[in-house]
Amino acid sequence: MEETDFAKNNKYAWREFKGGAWQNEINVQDFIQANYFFYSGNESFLEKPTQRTLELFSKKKELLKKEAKRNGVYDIDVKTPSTIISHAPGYVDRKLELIVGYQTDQPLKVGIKPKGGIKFTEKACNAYGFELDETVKDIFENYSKTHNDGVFSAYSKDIKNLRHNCLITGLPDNYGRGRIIGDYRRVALYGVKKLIAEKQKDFEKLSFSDIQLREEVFEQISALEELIEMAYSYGFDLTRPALDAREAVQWTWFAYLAAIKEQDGAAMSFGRVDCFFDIFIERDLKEGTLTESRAQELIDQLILKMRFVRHLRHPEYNALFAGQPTWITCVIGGMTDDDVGGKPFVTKTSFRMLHTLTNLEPAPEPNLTVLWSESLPGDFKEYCCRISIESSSIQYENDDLMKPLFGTDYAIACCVSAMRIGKEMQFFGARCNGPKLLLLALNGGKDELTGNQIAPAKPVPSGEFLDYAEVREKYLFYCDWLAEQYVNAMNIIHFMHDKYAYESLQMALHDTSVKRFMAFGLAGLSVIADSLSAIRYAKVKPVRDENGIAVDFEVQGDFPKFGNDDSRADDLAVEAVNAFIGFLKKYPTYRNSEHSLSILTITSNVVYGKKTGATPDTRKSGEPFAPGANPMHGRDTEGAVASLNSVAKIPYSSCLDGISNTFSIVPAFLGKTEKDRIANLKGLIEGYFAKNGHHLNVNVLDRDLLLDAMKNPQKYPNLTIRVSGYAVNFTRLNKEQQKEVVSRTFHCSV
Amino acid sequence: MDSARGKIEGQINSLQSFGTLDGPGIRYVVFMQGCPLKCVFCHNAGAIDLKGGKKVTLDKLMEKIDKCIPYLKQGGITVSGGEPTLQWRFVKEFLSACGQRGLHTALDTCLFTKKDVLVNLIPEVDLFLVSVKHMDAEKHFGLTGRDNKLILENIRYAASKKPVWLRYVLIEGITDSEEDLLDLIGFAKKLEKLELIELLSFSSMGVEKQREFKGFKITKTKDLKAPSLKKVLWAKKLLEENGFKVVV
Repeated sequence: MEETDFAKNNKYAWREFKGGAWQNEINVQDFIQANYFFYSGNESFLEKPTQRTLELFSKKKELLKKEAKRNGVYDIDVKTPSTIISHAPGYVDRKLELIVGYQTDQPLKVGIKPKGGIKFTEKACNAYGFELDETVKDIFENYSKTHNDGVFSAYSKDIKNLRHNCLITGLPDNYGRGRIIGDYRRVALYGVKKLIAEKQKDFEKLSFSDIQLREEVFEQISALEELIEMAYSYGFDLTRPALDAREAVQWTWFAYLAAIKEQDGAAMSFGRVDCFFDIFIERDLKEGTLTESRAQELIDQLILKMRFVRHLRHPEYNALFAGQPTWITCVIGGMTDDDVGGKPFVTKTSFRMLHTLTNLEPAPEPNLTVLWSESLPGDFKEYCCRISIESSSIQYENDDLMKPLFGTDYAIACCVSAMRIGKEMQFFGARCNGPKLLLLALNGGKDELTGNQIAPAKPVPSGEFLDYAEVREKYLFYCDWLAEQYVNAMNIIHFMHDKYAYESLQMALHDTSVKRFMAFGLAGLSVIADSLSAIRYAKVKPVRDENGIAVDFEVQGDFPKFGNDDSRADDLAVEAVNAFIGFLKKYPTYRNSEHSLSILTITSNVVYGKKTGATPDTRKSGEPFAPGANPMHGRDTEGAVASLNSVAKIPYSSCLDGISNTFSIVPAFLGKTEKDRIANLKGLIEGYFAKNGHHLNVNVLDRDLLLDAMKNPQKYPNLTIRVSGYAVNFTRLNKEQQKEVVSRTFHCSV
Repeated sequence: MDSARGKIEGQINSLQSFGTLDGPGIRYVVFMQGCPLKCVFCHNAGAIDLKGGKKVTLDKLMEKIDKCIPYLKQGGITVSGGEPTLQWRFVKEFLSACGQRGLHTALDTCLFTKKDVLVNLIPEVDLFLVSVKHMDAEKHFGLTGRDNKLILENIRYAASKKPVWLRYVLIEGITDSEEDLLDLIGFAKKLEKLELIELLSFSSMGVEKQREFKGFKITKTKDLKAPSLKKVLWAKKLLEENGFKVVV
């Protein structure tokens, strides 16, 4: 049998490993389960960065300073569309770099990816003072159609209107959709030759009824061949499996590197590697070829690679996703299945990865995400909380909630989107503006700012004061209408993305048959809930202008607000998400993908707010929404636990693409001593997740510090804070976004 | 809970579902309305008037607490104020209901109350958070408008029955002399179940608010200052040398 031969040929690469199903099929999960070393101890074994890492780090910091001086873009290669093999190898310093490979021939030099859209490539180049090469422009304008052109060929007038009036914003119709996680570990465990052989076998079996898939698998094989070629240019043979820890890290990095050379997807996560790398590290330690210091060095240097990933973004994109995030999300921790003893997936490398925030200072990337379970070891939990308090750079997601749905080998795409690695992917769909949708219902389908009729006309609600039942009925009507438009837009986008900008390398690192989600989003949930609550429990009188548009609202009396664990308001938020996903599911999707919904805004809550008129909850026109699923700023008056409890009520089953909650607290209010602060943060996360909360960003900061950083950004080059679902360098946010962060509820005394 | 008991009402200033400074761990803190003292350093002056705040039934309060229990495993609940003993009947029922749920209960009190009230509350309290504003009777009167004799007696009694954390506010030139602290040490040494002493630095936070309320004996609050960090550390060391566990 070929499989047995393969195992035989890999006797050396797989020495000391426990065998199993993974030897006969592509099955990294099985390999990890059979071989990982659970570590239940504390962080005392961790080592400082090596001299070599420190020297490299300081050289890299110099480059980052130059990049900052050049408006955030070090250099652009305007001539060479980026592919897996488009660029010669690049280095910062070959002697210092233990793990090699940059996206182009120079670190921080950005490549262009015109397949997404030539206009936007040109616009982005221009924004940073570069001119796109004429030949490239000519090719993509006159000879080769792009994803963006494709989408706009098929969009309807209604959809264009929705985009234009900002009811749906940030759709990936002019940039890479991302949110796909290749199983980059496969390259290290099996070598590329084996992966190609498996894909060829799959190809032979494909029927002629799915020509699209036939072509895709062909593309996947070509991409794998290019991956071999790319690594070869750096002097490595990726046809075979990795032989030691350094190779395992290098092989995995090369696989990821090929993906980000081919694509500039909004969020391209790294996946789940802590247990995987740990197995190789443990073997080397046992064989005496590695020390703890060198093990940490491998992880430190990998993290430094991630911090140098760059994509060319245009300025409008940055307004939505501030701080140029790349979302190299790495999940850490989580639990194994109960039927194999329910052991935690915590290894020394889980610690080593978090330790990079100490060794290499806090930074937004990679997006370190702890998969939290009640059953994680106490020492690990406390270590996470300590690093959170020190760095504000960790997010937590509830493994006990996700594991039953996504198994034990899932990772997070972007911020909060769970998917089985190499088995599931998603079609990303940004988000729609919920409060604007509610205003449509109050204005008979007219946009409240432009007065344009953007949705079917309906009579405006009658009477001096708004009647809850009437408003609710109209709101649901427009929800349904929008859901249909939204699904149509998404079907077009992803059809075209597959056609013109297919992620061949990432999909080569998936099973040939994958499950797809179609991920919709809803912004401004707390504004919707509070507005409906005001209409229901207080008296709300719309103030209409000469065209009958409600430009403001007079509210008489108090009303319950989302964020105080008060079911009267919280139930309205729950109903809003349940209704919306229900309507979305009515409309069929491209490639039979499963509809999912996220309550996540990234930083778009600021832009969305800016483009939305006054709402019945007393929010003024232009005021930002709260981020993600957060209660509105300052309205959660009964403290953090009540606030978290409100968010925890939003059912994950209706929002499988994630429910983002950002928690900010002043250090002094977390407890009097470091020990207290750690214990209280741990208690808070534990409580939230016991209540079925999904995600928690944790910031432990003084507001004064942020105000000072706004004034004196040069003093805070590494000030990292968590915003909705990701971390960002605070000083790279624009002033409006900074103000919004500062105005958020900071839990503090009295 | 029987229905009549659940209907009793407390006059409540505010609720803090994530308290970390009033007892161990995460605490659900209920700030009761009303206070018999008029402390110059009051940081919650809005709670002084017994008629302020809002009425909440015991049932409603317990409904809120019940939803927070997963967070309170290493912590519990704290009743603060204002001065909770003014509404001791409600507080007793509330503490008892929390105790039945296995929650750790703390009472943050000045103990300016009749001994009978204290005796009634003691069985329901797991930890007393008590503060001494000044050991000197006259100065105490100046700072709070009340005598400290009853307070000190009650603290001694409470500490003979239940664990106590003693809180002491350091105000420059007023409560932070060596003599003041030695008096405090002398008193604290006799407290049977004293677990620790919390030194709080005076903060001017509540002072502006406080002026809005009638009945202050001392209005020279602008003269009050927090001691230097050096002074605080000195005080901490002095207490520690006398065998106390001190939290600053």
